[in-house]
Amino acid sequence: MPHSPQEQHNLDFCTRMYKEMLFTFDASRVDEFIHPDYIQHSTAASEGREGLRAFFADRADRFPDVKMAIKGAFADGDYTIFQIHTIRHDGDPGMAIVDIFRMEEGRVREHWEVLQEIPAKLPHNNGIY
Amino acid sequence: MAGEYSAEEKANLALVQGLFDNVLNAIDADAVDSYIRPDYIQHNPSTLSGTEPLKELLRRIGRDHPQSVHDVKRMMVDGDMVMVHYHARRWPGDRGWIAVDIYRIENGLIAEHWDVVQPIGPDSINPLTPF
Repeated sequence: MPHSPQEQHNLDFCTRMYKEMLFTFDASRVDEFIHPDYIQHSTAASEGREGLRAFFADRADRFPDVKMAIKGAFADGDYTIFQIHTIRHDGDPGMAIVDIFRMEEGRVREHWEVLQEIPAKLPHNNGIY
Repeated sequence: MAGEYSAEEKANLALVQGLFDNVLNAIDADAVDSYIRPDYIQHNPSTLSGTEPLKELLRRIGRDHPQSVHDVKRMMVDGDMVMVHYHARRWPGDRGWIAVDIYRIENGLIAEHWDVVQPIGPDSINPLTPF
C-alpha cells in the first residue's frame, strides 16, 4: 500500500507520539504533538489539551505497569488509524482500541476512539489482531 | 477521505459502502455473498469465521430490530484495507454503540474483518459526541 509522503509523515509522527507520549502518559509532551485547538471525541478524556493532560495524570497513577502496543497502522490523507492493545496489569487480556487521528498543521487536531475489553477466551484461533 | 485514491482503493471503498447500504442497513442476509468471501477470517471476539454467523445475525436483527441502522460517520481506505467509523442503533432513540470495522479486501471481496465496539453510556466525562 503506497503512501503519499504526507501520509507516511503522518504515520511516522503518530507512531512517535505513541512511543514518546501516549504509551508513557507523558503530559509534558502534549504541546509538541497536539494542536492548540484539539478536538477530543474520546469518552475517556475531557476537552482539549488540558483534558488530555488530566487523562495522563489519572492513568499514570492508576496503571503504573501498563503495557501498550501498536498492532496495525493505516493512513488516508490527513487521517491515521491505529489498532492498539493495552494491557493494564499482569494477566489482563487487555483492551482492544482503535484510534483515529486527523492531522492539521503538523499536529493532531482531532481524535476519535473506540474501546473494547478483550475476553479471556476467543471462540476462534484468529486472535483479535 | 483524502481524494487521491488509486483505482483499487476506489473499488475497495465502493465495495464496503455497498456492504453497508445493501447488506447491513438493508438487513439482507441474501446479499452477503456479493460482498464477502464465504471463508472470510473473523477477528470479532464473539463470532466464528465464515459468512454463516453474519447471515444468522442479520436474520435475527431483521426479526427483532427491523429499524436497526449502521450510521456511517466516516470511511477511510489504505490500499486493501478499509476502515469504517459508525454509530450502530437498534431502534430510534437507542444510544447504541460506537464501532470501527476494519476490512481487508482480496480479489474484489472482503476476506478478513476486525472490529472494536463500545456501548454508549448515559453520560461521559467528555461533552462532545464520540463522532
